[in-house]
Amino acid sequence: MRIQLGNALTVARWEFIRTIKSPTFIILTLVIPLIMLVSGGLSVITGRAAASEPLNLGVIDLVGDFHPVLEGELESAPAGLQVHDVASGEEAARDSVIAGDLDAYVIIDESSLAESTLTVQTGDRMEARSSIANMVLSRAVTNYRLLQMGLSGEEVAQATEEVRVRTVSIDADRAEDVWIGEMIVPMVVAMGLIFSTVFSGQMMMYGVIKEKRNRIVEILLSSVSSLDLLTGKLLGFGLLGLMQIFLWAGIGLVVALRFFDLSGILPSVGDGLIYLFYFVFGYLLIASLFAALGATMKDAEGGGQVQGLVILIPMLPVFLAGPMVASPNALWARLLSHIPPFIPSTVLLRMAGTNLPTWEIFTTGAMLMASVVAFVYLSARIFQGGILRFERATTLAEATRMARGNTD
Amino acid sequence: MDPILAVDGLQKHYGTKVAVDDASFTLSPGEILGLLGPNGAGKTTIIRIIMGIIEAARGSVCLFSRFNPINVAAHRVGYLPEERGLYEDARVLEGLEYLAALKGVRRADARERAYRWLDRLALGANAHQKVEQLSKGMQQKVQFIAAIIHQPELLVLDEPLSGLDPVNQDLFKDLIRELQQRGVGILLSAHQMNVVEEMCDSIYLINRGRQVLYGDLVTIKRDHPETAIDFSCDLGRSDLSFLDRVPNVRVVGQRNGTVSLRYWGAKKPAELVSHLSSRLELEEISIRKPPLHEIFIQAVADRGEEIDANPAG
Repeated sequence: MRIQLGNALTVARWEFIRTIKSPTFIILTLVIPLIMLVSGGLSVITGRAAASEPLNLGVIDLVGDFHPVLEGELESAPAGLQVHDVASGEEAARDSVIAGDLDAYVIIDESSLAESTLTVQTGDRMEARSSIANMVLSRAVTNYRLLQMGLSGEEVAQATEEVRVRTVSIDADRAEDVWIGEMIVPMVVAMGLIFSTVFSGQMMMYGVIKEKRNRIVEILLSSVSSLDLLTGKLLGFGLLGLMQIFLWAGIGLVVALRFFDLSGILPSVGDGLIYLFYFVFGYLLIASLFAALGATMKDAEGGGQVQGLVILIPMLPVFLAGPMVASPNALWARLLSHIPPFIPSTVLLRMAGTNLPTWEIFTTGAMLMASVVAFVYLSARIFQGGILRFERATTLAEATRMARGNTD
Repeated sequence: MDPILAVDGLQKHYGTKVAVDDASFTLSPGEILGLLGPNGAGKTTIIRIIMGIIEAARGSVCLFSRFNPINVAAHRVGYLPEERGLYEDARVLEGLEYLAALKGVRRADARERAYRWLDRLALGANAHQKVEQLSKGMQQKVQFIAAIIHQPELLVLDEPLSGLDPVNQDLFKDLIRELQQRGVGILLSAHQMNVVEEMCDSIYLINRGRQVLYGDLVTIKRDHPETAIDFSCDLGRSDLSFLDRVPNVRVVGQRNGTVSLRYWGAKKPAELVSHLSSRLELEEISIRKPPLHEIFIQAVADRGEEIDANPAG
């Protein structure tokens, strides 16, 4: 099979124009970032509103001399906590919480100090502000114990001074503190690319199923080869995916710059090009797999369990995102980076946790490109064999035979 | 004149089922070749092999005197498949432009031709409607336009009249004849023998994937040994028992006052007619070759085969 580029470009143009006007694509492209913006904005607004109201904590000091220590600790604590000495006992504190005068109360007695367990009673579920209370209470108990041991206030301050741990990259070009933002930004980019790849691939798959269902595919295959048709679809939907990514990234960047200082944490041009490479080839790999899958299905609802599993394959590394970012150079992560269906997602996620060595970019890149060529050819064969089976879905055994070139 | 299509020794199996076995025929410009056979005989498989949609296990397809893959010669071939399909959510004009573009027609030319054909088939007002808004008959017209918009030299029509009402059947027949007169070679697949008999110059008749008859229609009919003689007379007052004693004659039907005979003797049928008129008071009589359907059944029977639908076809 040889590709007739003119035919492939005609198919690509048709798919691009048709899909860009479709309500599904418009909704997916515009409404998803809108929903994310609205929900993100709401959480920022509600978070700020909540943070502006201090937590009123009632303290029932049964040991008698804890309250001054707590007051002292409050001076160096972040804002957001107000402590009230409740001398009238637990019953009154409980009533105050129910009435809304207090948000929570805590009993400080000998046994709780001995057991190192303080119980904060709240009228509502735990919320973000309670973390300040926990921190202040914990420090105050430590200070109180040290004072009880006979240390002076100055000695206590010295002993409990916070130790700041710095993490600095050994990379000469990045000899500054490593910040969590450096991991989050590439991770967000990687996730965006993976989702766009899967969305575009799935959209293409449903397009193929539709063409099969309405029988137009036989007319198409009488004009162009299955390879031309598949290549055209890959190009058309790939361009749509790229456009989607740039749009999402643009909107995300504008909004992020409004709220955060991103200087120094955005990917460099070099990293950006590497992301783009893995996105483009990753998309080609996964979309060709999806197109072949679409050709084997009778309709969108009729996919069997095998088809459902195939859809999940490119997403599998996402489920391992946590350990992958934490240990990006572990042997299993490196192996996964060289197994075709997982290459793009795994490499993109690992890049969030480390600077990939150049040799690995080359080996995974070469493996990815070789897999794309192989997958597109194999998919074209399955596509050709499966697309005209209108009455039933293709079995796995049949698809395997088709991939080997046997269409009987 | 060189054939524009030459099929030689095509073979196709689906598992252990033989779908097509040693199919060979040619088609010249301006000729209508009927590809005939019962449902499941292998007609669509032959067509899909010609169109490059599936591969033959053996044999070759030569288009325009070259063994080109179909996607090289696609712009010279038009195809109306049995399984009709259009982009239902696309507008009529858009869909036609796309299918024409795949056949190498420039956008402006495609648009102009699409309008011309849509007007000709009384669909001009529907050009900007979505296909799903058209009736089934209208959709079939659009599909026919899609098959010919690029002015093909070879047109492959798989069951072009199925599902059409009589008025549209006549319209399609006229269009097919018009294209033939312009020199387009047409491969017309059908299972209704009367349609093929009416339209085709030659036929390729298959059963269970194998050739049963092939040649020009006139010769096939002429070479068939039987003659059909139909006569009408007052059956209430006529004694037909003498027919049992006439050699090389059998009665095949008797309905509405008309008796149908088949005669295969060496003497001329006119002699039988004069014998009949001497014994009966004939009101009407006609002598002709039997219909194609009967010739087909006879040919299959002579080969010791049965006619049934082959699921592999």
